[in-house]
Amino acid sequence: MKKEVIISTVYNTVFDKSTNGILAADLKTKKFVFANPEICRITGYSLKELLKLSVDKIHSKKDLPYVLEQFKKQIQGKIILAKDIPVLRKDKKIVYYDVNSKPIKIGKQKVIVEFFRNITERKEAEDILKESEKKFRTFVDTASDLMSITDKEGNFTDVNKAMVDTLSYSRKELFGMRISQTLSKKSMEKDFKPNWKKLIRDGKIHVEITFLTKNGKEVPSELKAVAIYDDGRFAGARVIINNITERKEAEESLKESEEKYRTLVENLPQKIFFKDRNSVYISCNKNYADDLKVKPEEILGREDYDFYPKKLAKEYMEDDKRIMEAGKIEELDERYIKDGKNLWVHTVKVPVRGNRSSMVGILGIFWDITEKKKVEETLKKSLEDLQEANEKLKEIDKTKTNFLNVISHELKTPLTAVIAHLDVLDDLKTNLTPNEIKSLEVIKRNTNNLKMLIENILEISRMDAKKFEINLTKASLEELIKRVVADLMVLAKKKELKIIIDIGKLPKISMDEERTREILSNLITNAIKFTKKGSITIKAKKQGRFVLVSVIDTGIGISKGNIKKLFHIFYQVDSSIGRIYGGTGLGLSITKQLVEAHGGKIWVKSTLGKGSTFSFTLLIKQTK
Amino acid sequence: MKKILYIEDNEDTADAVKAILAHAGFETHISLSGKDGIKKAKDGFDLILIDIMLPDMSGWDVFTKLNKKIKAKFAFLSAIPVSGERMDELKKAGISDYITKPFEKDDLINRIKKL
Repeated sequence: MKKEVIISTVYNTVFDKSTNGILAADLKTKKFVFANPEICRITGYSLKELLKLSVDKIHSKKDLPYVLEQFKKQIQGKIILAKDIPVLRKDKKIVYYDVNSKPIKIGKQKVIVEFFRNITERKEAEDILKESEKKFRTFVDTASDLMSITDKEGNFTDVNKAMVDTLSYSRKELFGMRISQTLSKKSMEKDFKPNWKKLIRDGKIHVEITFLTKNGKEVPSELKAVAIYDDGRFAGARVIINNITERKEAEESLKESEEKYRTLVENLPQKIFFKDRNSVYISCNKNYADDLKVKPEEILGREDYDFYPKKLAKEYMEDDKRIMEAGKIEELDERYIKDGKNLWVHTVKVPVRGNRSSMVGILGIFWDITEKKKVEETLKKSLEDLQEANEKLKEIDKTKTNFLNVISHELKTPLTAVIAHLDVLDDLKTNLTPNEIKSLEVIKRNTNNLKMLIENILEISRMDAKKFEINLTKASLEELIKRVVADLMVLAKKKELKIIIDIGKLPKISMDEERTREILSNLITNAIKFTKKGSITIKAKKQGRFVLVSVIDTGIGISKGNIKKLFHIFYQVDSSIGRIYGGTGLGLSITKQLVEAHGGKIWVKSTLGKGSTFSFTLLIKQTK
Repeated sequence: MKKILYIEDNEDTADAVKAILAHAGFETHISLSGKDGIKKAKDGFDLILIDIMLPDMSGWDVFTKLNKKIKAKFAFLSAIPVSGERMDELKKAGISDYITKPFEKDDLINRIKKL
């Protein structure tokens, strides 16, 4: 094959198979003179059709000036590639191509050859990108996060709406500013400067900074920045900023409230600790840490075994285990060791459940109760001592009672013999001389005094040994009074004294008849004894829950000073009284105790030289 | 006429009581010990008067040994006072009276008459 033929074939193949559309047009007429199959495909025209057309037919009227302008520039060598040339297809669709034009001469004819490179896909991709950028822009502008892009100096090259809104600068103003200019001075120095260096070095930063708005308001923020590189060189940064004012405020208030509780817990006089479910210490307050000679932060991970003797630690941990298993609060009195001293503490242990109600640990609060325990122990000891003393007293009491019984017997036995023989003599009185009778009377009187003295002494002793045994029965007080008066009438008649009984209607009362007889007998005997002339009046009346009994005499009376001492043991108003009137000075003391044993009261009103009134009350119904 | 046995270790008292009761019209026999009293009591008496503190045994022992074996009433004559509560128990047991020494002559006679 001839060389020319080969070349021609190669060229034809290149033209025919080229993926670029190739079109040649006469420079003057703008008519197409050559077209390859690809340009036919691009334009939708057949080769035949194309060769009849001119440039103005494959570009829309609207686009034609732009297209021609581009070709002109190419011919002049101003641009190499005419970009984005719109081509109007036969079907009226517009497709975009980059076109490379070259003027050539074919013989005398000046021709422009245009190479069409398909850019529709690129164009579409660009459109999509544009659309996506638009969407992204909207997204960026509606985002609540503050977003911006800066150059390597930190100058804003792009900012979103949130940034504008938050910092109160306009977008335009911001474009003239550096990011550092929007920060508070302090934050700029402390947070930003070192971190910007870090950004250049590491490629990204995450830091808390404080912005200062145009209005001078501080905005605590969280700043994340990622470096932008150009050819491996730091070229700027993409910056996202979170306004954390609210979070900061919440944090502050939480901190404040935590601080409050911490202060409270720290200052509580009680010791407080928290252990995990294996009884390993998590934390404690200072008060407890001081006891353990550690800092509060040093307690984490320690166990009771680290601080206490084995036995005690074991006890504590067994308590923990039991309480956590039962899930119930317990209060315990426990032994405790501080500075080597054995103390007692009262501990409240609270099992603590987590979110899923599983046991997470145990909270303990305890305080020293050593003093209280001591007092309790002392009290217990005292009580035991008292009980012991009481037992001894009972023993002594028993001995005393026995002693009294023996004494009674020993004193009364000879006396009984004497009195009985006096009575025998009395029966034989008719055989005695007047002098003998007189002697008999003296012996009788003194023997009676002796008898009374012994009775009273024994009575008083018995009262001390044992409180009165009162044997209550329901009985008529009126009848009792009448009986006592009848017994004593002989005495009164001897002194020519009248005895008047003035008793209203009385209910039966519960009393020990024998004891009450003693009371009445003592008082009436006294009245007779201390009255030379006049009368003794016995009054009795109901008064509420009581019966009031009064013995009124017209006797010698008692001075005010002496009234107070009247009921004391062995008291007689005047020692001469004993000699003149007889008596032991025990009667009123016994009487008082007898009245009180009945739940009553006794008192006296008296005027010296005019008489005395002894009154006492007796409960109508005794409640045991 | 009542026949009385008085068991009393103090001879002086016993003699006087015997004289007083005789004057009041009672026939009184004396025993100076518990043992003797128990022995004599079987002779048949209306009333056995017993002193509680006897040298060989207590008056209570004498009473329990004689009670329900002889047809007589029992009374104690003692220097030791008795509580009301105890008296109730004694009455239930069969003691008709408890006279405290030293006694009043008239009181003694009256109470014996009542028995």
